[in-house]
Amino acid sequence: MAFSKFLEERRGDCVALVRELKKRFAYVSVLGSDVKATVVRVNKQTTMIADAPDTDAGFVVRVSDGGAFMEYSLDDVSGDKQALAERIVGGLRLDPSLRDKVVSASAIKDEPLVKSFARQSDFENFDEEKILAKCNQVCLKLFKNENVVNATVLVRTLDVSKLFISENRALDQNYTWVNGIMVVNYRNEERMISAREGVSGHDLGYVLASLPLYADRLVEKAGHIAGAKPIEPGEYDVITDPSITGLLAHEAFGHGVEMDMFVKDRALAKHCIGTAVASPICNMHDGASAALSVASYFFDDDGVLAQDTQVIKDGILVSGISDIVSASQLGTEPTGNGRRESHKRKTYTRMTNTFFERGKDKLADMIASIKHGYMIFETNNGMEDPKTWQVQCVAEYGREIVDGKLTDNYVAPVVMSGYVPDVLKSISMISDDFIIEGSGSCGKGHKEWVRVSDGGPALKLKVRLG
Amino acid sequence: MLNLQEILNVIKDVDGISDYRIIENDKNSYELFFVHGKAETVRRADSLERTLSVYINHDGKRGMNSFILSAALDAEGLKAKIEFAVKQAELVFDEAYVLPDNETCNVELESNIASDAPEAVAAKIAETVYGANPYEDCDINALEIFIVKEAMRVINSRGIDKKQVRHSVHIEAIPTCNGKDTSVELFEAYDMSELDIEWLSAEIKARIDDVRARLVAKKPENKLNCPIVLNAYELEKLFKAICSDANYIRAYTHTNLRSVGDVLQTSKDCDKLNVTMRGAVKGSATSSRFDNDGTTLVDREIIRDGTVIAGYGPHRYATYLGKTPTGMLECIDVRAGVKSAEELLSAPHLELVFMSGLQVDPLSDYIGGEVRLAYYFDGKKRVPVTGIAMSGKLSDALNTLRLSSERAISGCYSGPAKAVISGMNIF
Repeated sequence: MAFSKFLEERRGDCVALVRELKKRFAYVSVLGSDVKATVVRVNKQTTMIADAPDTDAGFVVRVSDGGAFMEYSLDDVSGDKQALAERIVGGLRLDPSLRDKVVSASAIKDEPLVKSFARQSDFENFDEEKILAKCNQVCLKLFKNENVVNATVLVRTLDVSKLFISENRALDQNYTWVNGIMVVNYRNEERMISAREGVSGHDLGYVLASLPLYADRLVEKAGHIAGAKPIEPGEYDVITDPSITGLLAHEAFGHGVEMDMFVKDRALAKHCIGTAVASPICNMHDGASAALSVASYFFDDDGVLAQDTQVIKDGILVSGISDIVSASQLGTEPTGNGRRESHKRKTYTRMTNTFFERGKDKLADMIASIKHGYMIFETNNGMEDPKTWQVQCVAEYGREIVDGKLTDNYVAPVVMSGYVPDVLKSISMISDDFIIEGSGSCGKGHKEWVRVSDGGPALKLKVRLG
Repeated sequence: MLNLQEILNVIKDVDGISDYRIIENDKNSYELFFVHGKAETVRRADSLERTLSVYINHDGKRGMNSFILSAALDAEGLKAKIEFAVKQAELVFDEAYVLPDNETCNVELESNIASDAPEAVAAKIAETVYGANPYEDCDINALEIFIVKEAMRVINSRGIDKKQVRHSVHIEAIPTCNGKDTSVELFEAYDMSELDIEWLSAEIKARIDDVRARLVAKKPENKLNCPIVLNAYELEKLFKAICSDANYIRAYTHTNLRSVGDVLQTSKDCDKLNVTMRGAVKGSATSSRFDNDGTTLVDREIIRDGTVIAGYGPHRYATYLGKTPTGMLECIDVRAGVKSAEELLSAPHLELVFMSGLQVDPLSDYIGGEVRLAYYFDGKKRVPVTGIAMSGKLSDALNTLRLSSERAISGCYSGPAKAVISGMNIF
């Protein structure tokens, strides 16, 4: 794919608007977004080919004078720049009662950089007809099992172009991502359940070729989940699959080191930099350049270049992650983690690709080391409390381990919860394999959804399941 | 950006379209973000988003394609996009259906903030939230305020032209209590179409009292075995999960768990559920007069005395099932019980205040989650507890359900302020 024609046509407008607003503000930037997102989806009864909700086109103007940060999101920046600047300044009024109640922050650094970034994509080799044909093929395959009452196969494509203009910086980027997802509704004599499999990558050809390979596995798994029993609540030796490892990285520590939470005194991690927070065999990273996945951009929505931040090194918390607004209040350097749900929303510190490093153990040895416990699989959802370091991770299902062997005793759903340092310090083995899943979404509070990836190896730990 | 008439002119210029629909969303949002009582960010977001759907009748079937119109599109570019959409729609062979037709309306939904300047409303909210804290050891560490005006219009080729203006307020507040060695917080989010300053002040004060309780809350020494009290926030999640099963889309795609006539509550020893899906509930920000198809929203009673009696849902899927469309109803109205909250809470119980997230899965017959703050009442005294979790069967919860006579609104939920469920495992 190529960088957005719309943004390229507005580049001059962005430069002119920055110049106009610089007459009034110390710092001015404009971020342009043109995100083309499509979905092709089939199930037994219906087919959909449409723009997907990630679709986004517009601009956000940020100005700052060392006090409160001000932002104006709008659809277009063409036309009379003086009038537009007046509209922006007029729209960002603060009620007189609040004028003395604003934060103070150091000036945003605007270091010179002019650069274009692009990642090669194979999108142009495929049209919707080809994608639809593949979805239909996979859907038919899923329906071969008579217990499958419905199956949905969908392919979501994301073609992201962003333009960042400030007085000293001119950056643009273009990259793509694809998610292929299969969901079956499976009914046995007792109940109906849903189960899913996903494949993701920046290469559409890879995702389309891979989807059918997971179809049989999905149906088999659905059968097991349909027959799963509730778990007896208690503390167990547990092995997490890479999906749950990633969820743990994301929920247990990722949110806790988002440094906008440091500014608000909402994260215990603020006081724990340099201290042991996990088992000494643990190493954890976050960063848009730390792995190639759905959150692998080249620069963030603040115009800061992507980084690989090591969060935990040998069990010690070594760094948080931050956006430019938080960094300017904390007096730290931003880490390229400023992200928006869309051009219409505020930037917050957000995770990108978050994962534990691989270890040295064999998964088979890890399973063999457990007398009685569970291996738990596939992220459903998770919640954290960075203030008290309580975490809850919901897995789709688990398999009982008895006398060092993985059994076919399935349990579902499985809720893992505990105190983060206790959970992370209990990690005793880490597998030597590594998978990152690029199909996640993450909210801040209960809104501001951005696409994220997480993963890592399998972990052996002791934790409460319910 | 093309205006609506220019868009309609281009649509008429493209061959092969059987029907079209345009959804226009003109949204203006004024936003304030506070950290420790000081404004950190002032934002405004103005957006005009239009989604165009084209429908093609072919081979006895119907195809549809939707796309979002960007600001960059000129007439020529739009024509090319529509022609491409027609080709995409020809790939789709869905069962035939017709769009709703021949209705117009132009309404502004009731709101007491409609005529006020958004920056003044936001400042008033900030003053109220921070003014509600009487304690030196407490703070609202972060506060986000969104004042939104949203004008939605739906037009289609069959004579639908509907417009509504909605006003809403979204508040996200983090009450925090700082002890000698530790600090705890709660997360509170409110969506509303009416701003009641007195209610907001009392609500924030109550949540600050809760966060102070969290500071001293302890894990119970012994395993608790008692009924659990859910508040409106949890009840919204519970009833969303239950009611979505009655949506026509679920029925058409054979993914519904229950059908009309199925009994949700087999026990005689519980308050029977009576639920009506509504288009609008006073005070709820999700209230609407019509849905994305332009279908007028018609209230529908879906559960009576614990039995599913009807479904609800959008025009297309109602047509498929031979049912009367209600539109995509979003508000859930649950009939209140007969006993007061005071009566319900007079026996020993665990009242949930703050969970990491109530998990409700009707497919797995599961309800549960981690409890970050609850009050345990042993029949004599009420103490704050933390560090526990609860789980159980959703069917057991429904068969032991007791509903309070007092009502509350939370998001799309309007119903009993409190409910009691039994048979849950607390661990």
